[in-house]
Amino acid sequence: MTQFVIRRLILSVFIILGVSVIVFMLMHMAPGDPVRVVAGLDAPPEVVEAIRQEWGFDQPLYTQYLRWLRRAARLDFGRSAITGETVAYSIMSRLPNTIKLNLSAYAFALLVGIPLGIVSALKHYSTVDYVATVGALVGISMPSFWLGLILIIIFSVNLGWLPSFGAGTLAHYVLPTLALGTAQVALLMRVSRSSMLEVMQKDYIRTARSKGLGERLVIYKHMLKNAAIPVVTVIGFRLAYVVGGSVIIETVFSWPGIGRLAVNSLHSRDYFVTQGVVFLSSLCIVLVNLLVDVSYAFLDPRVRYS
Amino acid sequence: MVMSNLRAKRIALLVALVFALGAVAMACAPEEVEEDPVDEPDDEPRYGGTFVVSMYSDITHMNPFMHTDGASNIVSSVIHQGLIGYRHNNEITALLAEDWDVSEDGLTWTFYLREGVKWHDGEEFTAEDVAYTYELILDPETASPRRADFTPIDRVEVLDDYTLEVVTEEPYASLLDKVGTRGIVAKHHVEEHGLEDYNQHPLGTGPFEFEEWQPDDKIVLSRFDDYWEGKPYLEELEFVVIPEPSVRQMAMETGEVHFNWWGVPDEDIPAMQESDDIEVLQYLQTDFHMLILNNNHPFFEDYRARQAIAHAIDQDAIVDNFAEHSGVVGYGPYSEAYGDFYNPDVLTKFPYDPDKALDILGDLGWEENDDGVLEDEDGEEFEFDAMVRAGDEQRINELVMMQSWLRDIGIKMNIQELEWSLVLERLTETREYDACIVQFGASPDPDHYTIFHPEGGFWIGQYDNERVNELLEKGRSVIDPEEREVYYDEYQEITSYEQAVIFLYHSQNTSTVNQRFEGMKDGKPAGQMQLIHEVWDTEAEGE
Repeated sequence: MTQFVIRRLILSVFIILGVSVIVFMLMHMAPGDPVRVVAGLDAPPEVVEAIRQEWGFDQPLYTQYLRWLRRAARLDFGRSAITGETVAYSIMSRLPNTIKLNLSAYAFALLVGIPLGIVSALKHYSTVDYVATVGALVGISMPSFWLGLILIIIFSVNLGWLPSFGAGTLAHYVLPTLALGTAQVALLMRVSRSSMLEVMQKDYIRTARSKGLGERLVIYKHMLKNAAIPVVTVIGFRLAYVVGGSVIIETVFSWPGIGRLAVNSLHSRDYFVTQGVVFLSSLCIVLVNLLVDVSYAFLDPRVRYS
Repeated sequence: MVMSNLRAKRIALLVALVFALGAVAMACAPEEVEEDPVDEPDDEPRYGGTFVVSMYSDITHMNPFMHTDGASNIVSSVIHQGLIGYRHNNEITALLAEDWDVSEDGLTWTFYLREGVKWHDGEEFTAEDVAYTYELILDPETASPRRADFTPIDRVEVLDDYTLEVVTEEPYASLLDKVGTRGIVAKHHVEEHGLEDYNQHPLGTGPFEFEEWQPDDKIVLSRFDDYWEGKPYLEELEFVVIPEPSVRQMAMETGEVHFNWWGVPDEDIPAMQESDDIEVLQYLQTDFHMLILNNNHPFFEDYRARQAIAHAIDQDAIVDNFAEHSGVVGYGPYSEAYGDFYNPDVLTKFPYDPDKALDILGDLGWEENDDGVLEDEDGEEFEFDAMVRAGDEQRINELVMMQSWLRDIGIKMNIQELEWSLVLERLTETREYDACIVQFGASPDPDHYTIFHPEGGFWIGQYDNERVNELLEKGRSVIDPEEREVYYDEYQEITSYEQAVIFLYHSQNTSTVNQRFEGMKDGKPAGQMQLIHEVWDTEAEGE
């Protein structure tokens, strides 16, 4: 196990390095120029050239990449060409907002989605099941930006209960959490329902019941744990997105998060910022995948890593 | 008719609201609170209150000489001030300089600075600060995008604490505009903290001082009690970033935002005008919307070809459909907002006339082939690509409309949606493109050297007319406004006649303000925030 984790960690370093090379090359090969975005439409060539030199964009690509790598090794990810802020500051001033909102939506999805899925599996083809299934279908089909705008119209404009934009107080979390979490609730509900239904058919459940185990114990001890693997995969996968940020929700709710930073930096060809955000998210995805793999071993004793 | 995406979205929203949730929402809606019908007369301005301004994007730089975007300019210019500023009707107003004069030869500008002006940290503002700021901008290490505005300067001399001499190599007519308006930073402050993290601690002489900046979220400024024009009424100024236009509108309606600066979509203006709580402020900008045709492209080299395209495009219909409440049809590079420099008499109009367009193109050797497409003698079809910024719905729709007019006369125009950085690169670096639709906002000074001269950075459409180049050179090197007018009249005449670009329209800046605030309502061209110290909250507690 320990060996497996160490091997995976070493591999992760190469994956992340690979990602950084690819992103760097793609960004620089794609046409477009951050210097022009900074300098403005009517800037004379000498001004453009001066800025380009100042930022080192006149150097050959591999020099630029190696310089970036050397600095990144010392955790210095450079400065944004657009704002002059350090990349670390640009990310760290937004990352907490993204994590808090995503965790809030994540918790909402877990707390509502999984119990709902379990209940509708246990009482399948009942009214509860139908309502939950149709609800999930609606939830998963609704585009989040549309849901977000509708929520703002109802709760901010018409009722005046909640703020329509921004972050800061607890009240600011309610609408974006709902908009971001609804699709996840629906997804988790469906996954846990179908996984439960499958487990319920298994022989060992019949055996458990026939040896006289109480229904409660059957559900908790045998069904839930066995139904958990697909659910954990989905949950784990979603966890990687906690640092990812959702540009759509962040735009609709004016949420100062990492998603808007990533997209803005891409549009303005702000190389270092994009590079920093991608580095961070690839790190998270690699780590979360590792965590998920390790958790399988706990959930299913048949899974062994050697 | 072409329906804009926004409108479609809005209708979709409405339908959904009515069918799905409307009933519930309406049932829960709070009862209308009876407003006090008595309109209290505007009495004495009161102190206190927070004024919330929405912006469509976050600022990039607090530093007055590092930014080129509108949002940064607005915020930075509340904190920092230049020697002069533009206030009512684009009139040049003395700010940190009380007065100035120019020598006979037009080379030496002497500025007499205002005494007793304080920086936000209480230090005295002097000529040293101005000289220091200008030298910083001129230093290539600073990499200021504004440097070119300052390069005509030969030297800056501090005569005493309140007198400053700026000497230029050649007479520099737009010095007040290009140099004078630039915000000044404090020498002692920058020397102590450096420029690198200036965004974290900007310091100026303006009516509001910096409190905090939460990136992509908000910027909070507080009143500067010792402001030289008197203590501002508002206690706090908050700039919030709301990227989605419909949400900006809703936040105005809920009263969470008091001033929606830029970005009221044209189609929403009538609804806003009907609102009791919200006032719409409009003023004409010194901008122009245009279809750039690359003058180096064989199709468009000859100005008659460009005239033909102008005849094929119905400017009135474009304004009626996409800028009905905010656009003014334009025929040249200046809008009426340029004041005396704008001369409608010299402009050539190209009324919508597809037959005439075809006649002109026929003279140039274009003939319709069997597919109904124009073809030259070598059999090459009249087909070109027009670039547009990706996601810019209004301009994309304008292009769609033009596309159908051009198709009517046998020209194929393909719409090419590209990212902004890529559009910029092609327009100004590689200069390889066929056509591009774009809006350009210039400053109120008539100097368009950087825009139309081959040595200028933008050099729109690679338009190269010897006489125009000469006029642009003369116009910027003559101080006397009346003489400049002569040159710029001819500049307008030629660029309009030759359709250096296809001029479409000028637009009005449209912003909305909550009625509860007094002092914003006159519509101040080129910087509504320049008079923010006079704005007051009628519902403020007072102090």
